[in-house]
Amino acid sequence: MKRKIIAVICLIVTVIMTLTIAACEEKGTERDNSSIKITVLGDSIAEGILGPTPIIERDSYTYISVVGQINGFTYRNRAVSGHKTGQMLEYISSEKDETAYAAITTITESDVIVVSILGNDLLQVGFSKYIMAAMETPADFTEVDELLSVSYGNIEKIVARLKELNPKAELIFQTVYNPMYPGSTTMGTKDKQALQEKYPEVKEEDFYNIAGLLINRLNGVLYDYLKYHPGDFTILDVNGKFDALYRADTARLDRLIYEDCIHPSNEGHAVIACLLQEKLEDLGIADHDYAIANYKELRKEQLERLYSDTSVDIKAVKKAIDNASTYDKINEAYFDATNGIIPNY
Amino acid sequence: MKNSGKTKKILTIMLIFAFCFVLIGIFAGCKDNEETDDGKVYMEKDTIYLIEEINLFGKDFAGFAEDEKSYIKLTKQGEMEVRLTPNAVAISTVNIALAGMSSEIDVSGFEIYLKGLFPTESFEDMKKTVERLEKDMGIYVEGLDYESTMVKNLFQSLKESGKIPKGTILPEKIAFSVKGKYELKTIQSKTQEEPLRAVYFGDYNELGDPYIILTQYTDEEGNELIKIRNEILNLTITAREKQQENTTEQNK
Repeated sequence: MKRKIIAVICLIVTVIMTLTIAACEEKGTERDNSSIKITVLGDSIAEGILGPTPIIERDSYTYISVVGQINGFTYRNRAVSGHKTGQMLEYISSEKDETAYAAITTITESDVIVVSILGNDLLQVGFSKYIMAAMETPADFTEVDELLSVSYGNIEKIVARLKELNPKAELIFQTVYNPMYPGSTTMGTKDKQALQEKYPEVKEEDFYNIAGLLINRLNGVLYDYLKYHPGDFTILDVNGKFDALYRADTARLDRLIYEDCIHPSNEGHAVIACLLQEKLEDLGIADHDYAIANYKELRKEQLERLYSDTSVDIKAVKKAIDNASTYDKINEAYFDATNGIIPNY
Repeated sequence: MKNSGKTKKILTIMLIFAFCFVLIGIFAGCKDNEETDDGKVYMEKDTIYLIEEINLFGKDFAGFAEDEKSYIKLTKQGEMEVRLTPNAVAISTVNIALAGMSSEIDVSGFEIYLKGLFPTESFEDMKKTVERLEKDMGIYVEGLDYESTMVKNLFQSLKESGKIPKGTILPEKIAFSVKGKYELKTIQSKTQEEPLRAVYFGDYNELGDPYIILTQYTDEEGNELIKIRNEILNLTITAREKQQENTTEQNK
């Protein structure tokens, strides 16, 4: 009898201990990576005011937030919508922290600095005009090259300034993606019509490749810089990733870009986040197993928070996320299921 | 008997062990759950800063704000309010401009951004949209009479065509405010010895920081000031602390 009592008590103690361990297991596996600091600088693609939707979910969708959270890194977003290379240079050239955003200190203390810039240099200044010139026979890139030579000079100064402030930081520059999916209004309707009148063989789906001529030239600024300054920074080829997804499924680019035809959508941010994450893993800065587990949790929590009482089959999507072996698969599971569904927030 | 004593000893030790294990689990391993709001610092007293500079895209708009009714308020409970009340000059200037418009103002292009920020909202039901602004962003528009003919016409026109109709004017008592939680932070700067005094406004992940960060500082004459800076709008709002006795009066 006594042996039975001891056995029962042992069992109870074991259960209590097991439950206690289980209850705290999540905490137990958490790591304190907050000493690693990652900062994003640049333009609206990085800032993520337009694109993430609903806006109250900005901190769960913008790529710097996602990467920061799934790795447990301290993250700071010091990008400014509308900035061109010249304005970014001015922003980081300040000798002191002008406000409590402490931009200069933030740069100085970062382990990783991610830069999204260049897009506005081209898109804000006569994008359609340059496309028209690119269509000439032979193609005329004179004006756009003049513009990009200024951008190149600014990139040189930006890199020099960032290295002056923080020579040890891992510096990552993003390429600019091509936003001209079929139906995009990045090039105005009138300009498209004018171009099609001059070149009747041009169809709506051709604008992607036409715009690609300029986008490649724009991104060439970064590649050209690296030819003369090898190793100064790493390139995060967002354009290559978006392009690959577009080539695999032309309708996908529409989903990656927000309705304003410029900024990354929730899904676009997710794709950039995962590309950046893989880069950080390649560089030995981030741990894959830890981050992918956290990424799954982040998306599953969003499902609960945003898509309860909608047509989304949350249980099935969660299962698909759990079974996903790559970041891309997680994104597919989440965004395939939620595409076109208005969140319930 | 001997065995019974030994058994009790074993049982007691095991129970104590289990008890301690649970306590350690609760107070150590899961401690973070209980610390959510700990460590937040607020103003010691309710403080009002009167707005004295509004610089937007390089232009000074301070002269368009009603002096005593345009302020930044920080309470000792952690609530913050930024209130902008246009003065009579501002309202009449805008209304003259609106009256001079020869046609309706097409704002339909903004709907895409509205739907992006708030996917459940649109120009379709502007009253609901205004309520969403309050709920999600803490943005309040005061002085709008939803039952007035002008506001009804405005909302109807936005719904039907995305246009602000002719005859729309600003109400005399319109005011805008943003309300939410704040928290005081000290930021150690690498560019100056004195730490920066930050006011974190709104929710944020503990690994990140909020979108809106205000800066508190003291000028050379010892006045307490606070600054809002937004790079996109090239906006700087500077406000000076109101004197104590006036602050009390304002609170009433």
